[in-house]
Amino acid sequence: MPVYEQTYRSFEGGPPLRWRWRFVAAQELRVLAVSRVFKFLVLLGGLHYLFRVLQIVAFDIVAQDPNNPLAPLLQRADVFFISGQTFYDFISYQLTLMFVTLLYAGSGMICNDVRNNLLEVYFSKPLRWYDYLAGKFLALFAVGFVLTGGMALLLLFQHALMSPSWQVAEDCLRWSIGALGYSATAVLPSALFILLCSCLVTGQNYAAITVIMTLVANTALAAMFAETMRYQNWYMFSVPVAVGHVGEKLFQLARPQIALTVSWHYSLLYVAVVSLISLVILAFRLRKMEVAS
Amino acid sequence: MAFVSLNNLVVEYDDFRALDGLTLEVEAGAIGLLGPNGAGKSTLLKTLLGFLRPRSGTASVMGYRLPKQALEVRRCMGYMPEREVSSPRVSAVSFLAYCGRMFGMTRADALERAHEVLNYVGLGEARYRPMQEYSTGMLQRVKLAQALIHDPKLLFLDEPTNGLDPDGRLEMLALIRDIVSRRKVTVLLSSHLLPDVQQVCQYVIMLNRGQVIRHGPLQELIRPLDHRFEVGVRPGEESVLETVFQQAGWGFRRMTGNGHFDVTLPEGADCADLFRLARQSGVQIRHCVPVKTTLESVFIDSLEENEPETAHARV
Repeated sequence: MPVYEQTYRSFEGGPPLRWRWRFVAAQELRVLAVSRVFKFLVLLGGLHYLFRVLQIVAFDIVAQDPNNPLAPLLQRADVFFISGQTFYDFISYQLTLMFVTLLYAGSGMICNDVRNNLLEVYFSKPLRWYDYLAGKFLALFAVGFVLTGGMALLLLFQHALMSPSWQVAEDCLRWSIGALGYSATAVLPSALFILLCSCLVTGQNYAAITVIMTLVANTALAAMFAETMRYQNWYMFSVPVAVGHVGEKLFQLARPQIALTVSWHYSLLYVAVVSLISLVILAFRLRKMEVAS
Repeated sequence: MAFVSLNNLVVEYDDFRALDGLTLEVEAGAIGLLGPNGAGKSTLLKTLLGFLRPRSGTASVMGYRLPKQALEVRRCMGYMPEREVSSPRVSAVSFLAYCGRMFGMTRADALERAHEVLNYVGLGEARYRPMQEYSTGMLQRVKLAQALIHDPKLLFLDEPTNGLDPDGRLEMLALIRDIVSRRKVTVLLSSHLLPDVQQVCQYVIMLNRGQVIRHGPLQELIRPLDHRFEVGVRPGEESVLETVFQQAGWGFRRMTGNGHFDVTLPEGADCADLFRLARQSGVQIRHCVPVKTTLESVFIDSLEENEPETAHARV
């Protein structure tokens, strides 16, 4: 290792920074962007989005054109009909992919840093535990949101552009709020819980297994209580059911599939409590790590 | 102004007192931090970084009070941790640019500085490869580079030569010397390897059980002793000299390797008496230099004074 004659420039120090979390988030996204598995998962989400784009084109342009020979066929086919259900279904199908993507992207986010002794380096710089946590969480939230709510908003925008009328514009605005709310209700607890598991266990695989086992156990327990107590509302304690319940109400579906009689506010409250508990444990653990590193 | 100033600093882990009333002032230069395992070296560095909160006493780094102004301290100092650090999927350039961004550099500036610093530590073209492909020596260089990215005025190095081969170790020490002399960076070097400290540092602080047991400029600590001499004689005359010393009642021992004598002069005697004794016995002295203490012997002596029953076992 020769000591080169050349050296490095002086640095007088940058301006005081407030939002350091954005560097953490950007770095996480940069690392994810070069991963083939991640690209493949996003591509899968993109294919579904493409299919919905075609559906909207078929319904808004082809089916509405009286001169088009395919118009009568498309008008009879329910699958091409655009309603709130279409966007709810889009997000619901994307949720599985979103969860797998977050699991891949987030299960190693903290535990790999701990294993590689990076926390000691990061916290020796002007970075606090809350910057670190916010950066990690926002990177994960952005990925999850783009795959669900982001793509749904693009579809809604496309629908509003291709079928310009006040009624459609009003519907699209209402569904946009529904898409934002449903997406956030699903991504928030997923991202926080995956980060929590990544913070609590020692390896990426263990973290992923812990998340899946907890999800299975949560749903199984809720079902067990609902069946033994003969009270369907116990299903609300399954996080996926609670998220779906909120989504159905936000999109005001005509034929809801989740048979809960309690108000959707309770489901929303339950999801919020789960997210908050995850956040508090995460904050406690990371603060301890900053001190212990 | 002292770079680091500690006043009666106490740091505890639950019931264990890791730093016990430490009072210290560190001036500019290269300072070696020595001590056996559990002496409190790493605890001291972590306290200076604001990772640990003192139970009592005060600590300040470059005028900033700890732990209240820990962020300001972290902004103006660099830290090279003891343990291996790696961000496996990214290159060293990307990792360093990321570190630079945390100090408020623009993306372009952070990238430029990352290249400069990686060149400086000698990583060369390997800086573009993912860090999972790096050897231990290369990771050590990246660790040093991330501590230098923002041109700190104060550098904490925790066992910087850990895991390096002999050549790598010498190069790392040369680099640290260069940082001290050319960049005028104050370095606090914590190491178990006494020769490393001896090669790099001008000032040494020895810790044991959370207390400073000895400190001072290296040249003073290992200064030549005025009553001990290393004496060499013409081949074949060693046994004569041995007899002479025994008759005179002078303390001596044969040194391994060169066959010289380590002679301790009695109270009141000086070098001239040694030559007089040799001439009277017909022995020709061909080598006579004052014995220098090594840092190792100073360290062991200090530990023995502080903790006689376990000193050797710990070292």
